[in-house]
Amino acid sequence: MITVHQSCRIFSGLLALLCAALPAMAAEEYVYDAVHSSVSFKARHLDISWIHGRFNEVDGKFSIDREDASKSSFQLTIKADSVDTANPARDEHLRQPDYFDTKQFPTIEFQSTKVKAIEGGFEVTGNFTMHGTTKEITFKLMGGKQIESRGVRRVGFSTELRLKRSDFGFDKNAIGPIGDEAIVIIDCEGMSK
Amino acid sequence: MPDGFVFAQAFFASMGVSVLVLLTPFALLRLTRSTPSLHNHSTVFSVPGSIAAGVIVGCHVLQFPWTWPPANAIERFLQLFVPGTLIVHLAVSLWSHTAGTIRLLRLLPSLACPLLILYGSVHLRAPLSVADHSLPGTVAAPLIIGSCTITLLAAVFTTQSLTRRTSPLITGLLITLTLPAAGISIMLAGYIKGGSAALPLAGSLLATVLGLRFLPHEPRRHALPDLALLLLFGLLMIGHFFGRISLLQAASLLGSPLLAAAIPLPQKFRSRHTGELRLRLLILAVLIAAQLALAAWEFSVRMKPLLA
Repeated sequence: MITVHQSCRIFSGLLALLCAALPAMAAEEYVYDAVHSSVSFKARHLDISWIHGRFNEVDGKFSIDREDASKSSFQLTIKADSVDTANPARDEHLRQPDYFDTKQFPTIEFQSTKVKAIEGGFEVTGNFTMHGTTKEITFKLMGGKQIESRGVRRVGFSTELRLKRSDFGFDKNAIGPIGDEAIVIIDCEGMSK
Repeated sequence: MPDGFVFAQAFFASMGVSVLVLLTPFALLRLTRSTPSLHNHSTVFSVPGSIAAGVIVGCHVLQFPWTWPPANAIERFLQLFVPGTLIVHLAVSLWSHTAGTIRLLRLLPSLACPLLILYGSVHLRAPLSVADHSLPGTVAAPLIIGSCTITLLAAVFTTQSLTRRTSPLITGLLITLTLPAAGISIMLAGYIKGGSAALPLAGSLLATVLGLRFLPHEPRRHALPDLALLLLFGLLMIGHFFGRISLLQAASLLGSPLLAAAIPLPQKFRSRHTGELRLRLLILAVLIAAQLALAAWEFSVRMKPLLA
């Protein structure tokens, strides 16, 4: 038979356990869903039109704390070798050292350092590493709506980055007819771990 | 975009500076009628000095960024391998060593070359994902490093044995003239910056080889073919492992000057220095022209539509 005193002890123990678990539960952990996400880019050609491309192999994970956005984090790794502009010869050219130099710098990476909640999403600051050069960038990551589908919690985000290739150590002499600035469009969906 | 005028400027600027650095001390010593020992000391510095000065000026014309630490293969090649090789060349000339030490010192750049060029690249790392069908870095790296080192050592020993049979200046000249062809092949395969690095190297080496013809008693000329071969090998490694020149292309470019120097010539050509030089240059020209024609054809099929 459990006495009142024992019940109180069990209850307070459970409460303490619950309190300890709360901070861990507050952050939602997701992994990048490659099937429903894309990282694409476009750059000006001769300043009259756009060349479009995408990266086919991307990986990442993010942690979202809806109570305290500053505890959220975003990490993305793009395999530079997976560049695809629907032209195999151009893709081979882009993999060479005048452009991405994928044999020396196989990945393009982003790791957030500061996250702030804004209306409709987050303002994310972090280190973007491309072509062996790391720069701090800040962008608005819109979305964050969460749904549960077939027992898997999902969340979606999208953003657009404007990056200058010359800022990341790309050869200025090779910039030529392709504009220095590239617009990177990230549409990603995360699945709960 | 590649600019032929800038490439020509880089080539001739490196040549001009190298000739100046090579010949000025000799001219001054001759004018002042200095002692032979002073003459000898000056020659020790003149060859590596003229190559270094030519490469620096040529790279400056090409606007190569001198970033430290070097981040990619071409920067490691120009900022570490070329100076390192010249320092070894200087050390061998400057101090009197035993034959064994000299041989070991001269082997150092050959042993360091593959590792230095491939350092930090995917060729020496594990694959990024299971989807990668390449060999894991731990298995592939020793294989790549080993095969490159063995090939380079074989080429160095072949060059050294050829130097004993043919004039070192002829062998040096044949290897040096292959450098711009290697550069053009790398450029035609799509790596402009890597290929253009051949021009300052070729300009300064060519100036040194030709300049040494006016200094008949310069004993350091025997090391020139080795030096030219190391630079050619390093450049071809970059073209193959980071650019898109095939292994066959790289091997034939490396083999062409050695073949041109090795082919036995009839006695009537061998008795006259210029006759031998002309014939060997002709053989090299035929070999190089065939390879450049193939590279140009591949360029017109693959790369030209991208530049339109």
